[in-house]
Amino acid sequence: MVVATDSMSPDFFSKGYAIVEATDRDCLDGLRLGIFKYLAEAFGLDVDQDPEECLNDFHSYLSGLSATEVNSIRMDAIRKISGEIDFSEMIFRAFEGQLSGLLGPDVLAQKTCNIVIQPPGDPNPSELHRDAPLNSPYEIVVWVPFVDCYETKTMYLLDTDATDAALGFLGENPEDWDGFEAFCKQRAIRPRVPYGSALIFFTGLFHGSDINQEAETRVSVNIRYKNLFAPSGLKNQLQFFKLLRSSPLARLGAALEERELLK
Amino acid sequence: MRTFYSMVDSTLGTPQPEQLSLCRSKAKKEDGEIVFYGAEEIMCIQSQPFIISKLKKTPGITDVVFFAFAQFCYGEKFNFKLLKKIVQDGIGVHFAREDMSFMTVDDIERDFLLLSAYFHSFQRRLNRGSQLIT
Repeated sequence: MVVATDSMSPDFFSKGYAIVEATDRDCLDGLRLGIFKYLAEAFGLDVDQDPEECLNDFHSYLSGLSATEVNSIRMDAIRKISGEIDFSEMIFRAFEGQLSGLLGPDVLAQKTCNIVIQPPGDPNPSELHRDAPLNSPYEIVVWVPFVDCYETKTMYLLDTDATDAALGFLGENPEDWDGFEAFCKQRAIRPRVPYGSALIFFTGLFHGSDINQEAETRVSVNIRYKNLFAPSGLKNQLQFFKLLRSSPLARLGAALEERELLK
Repeated sequence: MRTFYSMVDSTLGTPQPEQLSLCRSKAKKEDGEIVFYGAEEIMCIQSQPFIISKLKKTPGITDVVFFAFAQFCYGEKFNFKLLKKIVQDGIGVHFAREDMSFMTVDDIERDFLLLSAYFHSFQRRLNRGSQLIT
């Protein structure tokens, strides 16, 4: 029997993904402002601009720079941002009302957060892939755009039924990657995810992104969460995750276990 | 400058030079360098009974860097007692792959829940039947 939590859309259980609104919008706004300020400083822009307008138009500030320069500045900015902003905490807090029912009270968060800046025409979109079973299948991806995302500016994903069909295709045609990609893209959905929302999806779904053919830049982050006690995938849990939340019961259990191990 | 003893994981397919390279990077990150290179006896990986005396016998060692936290998880129980004993003896314990450091007993106790959950997850992984991909 599938039991829907009060907080999560039934879509998640039937399709493997859901688009949910932030339950703490102030926290999300603070996160976007923080990222915007770092990016603006790194690229020498006016930090007092409207973040949404500036991020959407970010590509226009890059035109005088070579791809290597842009990447170098971007990587420096991302390193600084990652060192200064606690993404895992802020994103979790912004969507906690939606996430806690899925994950339970004992939560691990990915140590690093991926910040993606995808200007129009960027030739390096994310390749079609699934995270699980290399990652834990008991894990979720939270994809948070800092601008409104739609059409090719958003990401694409296959729901659970389409993913099953795609796996069937790949099983029968393991050498035909182009055919597989075409099969997937025909069945993919490209969800409209406005700023203020997140796309939350099961790690077992195929997903990726296309070349952004809209006139605006996409700025987004993605991060993974799982329950502390859920089975891990092949990725080393200690290497990739940190403890974000723990319940009183887990702490009591750990205290007992610790005493037993020291006997 | 802190002086490190290094312990690679004998059970892994990861070549020892690669393990050592990561151990050296971790030592450097912690403002130190490796001055003694140790290796595990494969028969003893479950409890690592040699490590305490090795650390005591090697002069000037301030820290030990293991390649992986899994080196404390090969026995039937999480070898928490050993981890705590090393730190209680005044030696910092570091893990290169996980980029984790424990300098005090409080550090270890603060992270016990995370480490214990990893141990149980690791044990499940050793039981390959429970893995989707092996």
